[in-house]
Amino acid sequence: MDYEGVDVEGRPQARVERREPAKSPLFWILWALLILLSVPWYFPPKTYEPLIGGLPLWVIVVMIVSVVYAVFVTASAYKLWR
Amino acid sequence: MPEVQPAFGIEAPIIAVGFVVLLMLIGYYSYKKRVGATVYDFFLASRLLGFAVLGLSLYAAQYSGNSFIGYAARAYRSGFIFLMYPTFMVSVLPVTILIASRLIPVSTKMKLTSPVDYIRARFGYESGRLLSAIITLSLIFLVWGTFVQFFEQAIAMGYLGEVITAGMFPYMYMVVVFVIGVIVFTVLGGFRGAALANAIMGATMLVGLLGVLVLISKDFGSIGELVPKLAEIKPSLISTPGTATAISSWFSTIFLVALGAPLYIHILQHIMATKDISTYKRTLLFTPYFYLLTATSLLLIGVCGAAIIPGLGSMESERIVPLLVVQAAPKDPLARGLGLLWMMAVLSATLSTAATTIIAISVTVVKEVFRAFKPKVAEREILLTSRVVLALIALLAIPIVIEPRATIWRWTEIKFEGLIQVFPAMLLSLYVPWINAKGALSGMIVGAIVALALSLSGYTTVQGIHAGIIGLIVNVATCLLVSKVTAKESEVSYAKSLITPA
Repeated sequence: MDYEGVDVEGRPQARVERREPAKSPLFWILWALLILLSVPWYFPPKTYEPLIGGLPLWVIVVMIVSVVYAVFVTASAYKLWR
Repeated sequence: MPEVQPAFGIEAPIIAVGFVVLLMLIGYYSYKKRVGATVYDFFLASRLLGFAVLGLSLYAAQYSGNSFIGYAARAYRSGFIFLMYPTFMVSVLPVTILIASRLIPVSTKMKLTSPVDYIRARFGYESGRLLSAIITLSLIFLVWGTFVQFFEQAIAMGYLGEVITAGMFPYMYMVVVFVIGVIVFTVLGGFRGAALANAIMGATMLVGLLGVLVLISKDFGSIGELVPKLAEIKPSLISTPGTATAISSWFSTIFLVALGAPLYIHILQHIMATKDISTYKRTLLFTPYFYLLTATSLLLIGVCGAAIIPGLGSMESERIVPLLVVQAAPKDPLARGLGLLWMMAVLSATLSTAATTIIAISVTVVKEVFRAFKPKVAEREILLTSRVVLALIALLAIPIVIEPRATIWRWTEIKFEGLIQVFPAMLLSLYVPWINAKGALSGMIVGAIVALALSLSGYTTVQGIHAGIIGLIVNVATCLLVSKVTAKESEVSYAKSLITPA
């Protein structure tokens, strides 16, 4: 995949402006949000119930957040960096 | 160590030795094929390699013996609270993106090959003592982190070898054999061999790891059956953190690793050696999922281990993964095969990481020493001296690892607490043009003193926050303050032209 010379909709462009993840407020907001959600402070302390399929619900939630986090990394590399 | 029966026959050591010889041949062959023995070539092997090899190499450099043995052991001890592991490993990647998006263009433009080259170029308007001081201090932190990463591999191999051979080869013996093995491997193979081996092993590692998970659920019950058992044995292992300190410690660990792991010398060199941004970008198509899958699998193995073999003490638990493998392996041929595959994967991943780290340290240090005392030296002499220094540094690790004194995880924390002190000089300076040498240097000094003073006076964490992170906060604040006060127009515009991508 190469975005050089082509914009997101696939129309040819003479010159694509440079983009860096660090310059995008969206990158920082989503990143902060994902780190915040990856730590289970929002669950009651010292509990493991309910168990779903043998795993505590809080564990499943944190695992789902980490999957979204991984997708965020790929997406920010491809959408916010050229 | 709990009683274990030898799980593998004579085939295990034979396959292991054969495997290492094969890796050496790959290294030797690629070394021979090389045109010209320059330092540039030595490091930039990966500039010839595509995104798949680069991605797998970076992955294998971040995951090897220490994580396969030590991090799973940490999950055994602390349970699902170590779910911070997948998060902090994935967090390494956005930080690496921030470094790469600036460092790749700067390195290409200025032909830089090592992090020290970057610091020299970035603060190049300084001369004499101030520049030497900032380079020396950065080098100390960079070498510290990379060196601990090296000896953690030896510790991991010691535990693995001891358990796999059912104590026939004790830990101490295995450690010494491993260190000598690394020296021989590196001197014969060189960097390109290590890079290639790393990539091959990156792929094998993941397969071997999933194999162990299959093995566990086949022999001891599925994860869904094992975890509820822990509710009876030790509910704290599957419960949410109980205190605010535990929560802040979780955040602190994420920052510690995310900021530290991209700063290893060899990781920075890999980034600097990347052809262009699009090659590095492509690695991110698969690395986040590899990082996530590996960390989550190791976490689950550790937690399941706590249900299968409960009651191991802190240092005993460091052997949990090989203990699980040797308990499962004798049961049937598939289990033996998967067990062997896993062992080979860990062995070679560990070997290649150890080789890469030790080469990075020795060449960087030797280059700097020559530059200071004998600037007009032939590249060949640098390479030859590097090999001698490499052997000496590797041997230096033996007294430390023979009596490890701390768990692999504790070493990991200590490693990153030192390494992150170069964060302002190495990463922040890529974005903030008015950071100058005086600021970066005073920040590093103050930050390191704070971190060290806290640790030595028994405050390894304060309210769950690592001493190294507190040191870093002070470091960044000092760096920004001193830079702001002492900034000169000419220096800022020099830095701006260097770090602003064309």
